[in-house]
Amino acid sequence: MSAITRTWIAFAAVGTGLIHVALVIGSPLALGIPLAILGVVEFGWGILAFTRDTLPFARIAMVVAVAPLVTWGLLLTAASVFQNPALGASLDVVPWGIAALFQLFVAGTLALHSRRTREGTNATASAPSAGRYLIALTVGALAVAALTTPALAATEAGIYAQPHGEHDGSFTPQRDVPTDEGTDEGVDDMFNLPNHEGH
Amino acid sequence: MTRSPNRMLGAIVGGFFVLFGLLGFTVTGGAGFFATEGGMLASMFQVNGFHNVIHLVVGAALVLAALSNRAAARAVNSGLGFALLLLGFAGLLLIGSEFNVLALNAAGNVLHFAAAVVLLLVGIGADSRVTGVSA
Repeated sequence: MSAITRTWIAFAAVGTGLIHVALVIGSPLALGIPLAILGVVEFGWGILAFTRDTLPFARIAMVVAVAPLVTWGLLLTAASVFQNPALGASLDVVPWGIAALFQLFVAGTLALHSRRTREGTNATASAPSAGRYLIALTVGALAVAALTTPALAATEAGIYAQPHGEHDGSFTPQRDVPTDEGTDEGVDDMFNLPNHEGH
Repeated sequence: MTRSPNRMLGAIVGGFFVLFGLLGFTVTGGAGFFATEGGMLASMFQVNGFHNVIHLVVGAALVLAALSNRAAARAVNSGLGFALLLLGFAGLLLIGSEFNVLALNAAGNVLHFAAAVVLLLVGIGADSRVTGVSA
């Protein structure tokens, strides 16, 4: 496998790891714990892949790349069949879908490499030139950043994140911005205590 | 130099840092050396005198290591990449505070993170016998 392909796989794994860790916030505990472990493992594997000539634990990595994708499908089905909106809400299509793209890229490339090795058609990868390697690394970083950023922003953690350099106490998360529609005056009145001028 | 990713990257990124350091002095005339509100470089990146000096030192270190040899370039890229990563995280806390002696702003922070990631990853991933890139 060429160093460039290995670099892209590593970037995809790092991106998936970040998304899975971010998804822990707002997920049910039974889903959050495996997601946290999975995210840390994916991130660590991605960093390790940068430093090795061959991808570490390639066969296990292939299974780990596909497993969350299958689990997402099963959980979506379960949320729909058992009409569990809380579970469905934690399976938002943007972060899970983008993570799925990364996982498919990792699993697909690993599977292709594995088949070529088995059939003996895997040409010995030559070291790319320095310029080509740097351009490929930059392109990979930009592509993963471009996909990971909206995915992180769509997670519960991302929704409550403040814009860079604009930290202030009056920040209202997008999800909590009051709208004209559906204002529950009963709830508002509940917090308007007599002679209470607010904090 | 064109056969080693670390030497090539060190020369390119180092050159940019030196250029930023020199250009920075053209916009920080009225600001104090450690001022938390500096001048705006390219209407995006806030810098003060101290920030300019750091850019020059970092840039010079990267370029000199790149001109020297592969091992030096790799060590300096990795080391400064890690330092820039730490600075990026520190910047998240320092922006808007009285301890912001580098006059960091959000755009500068993004640039520091980007430079950190590229330097660090090329530093650990290329020019080693293990990875085979430019071995």
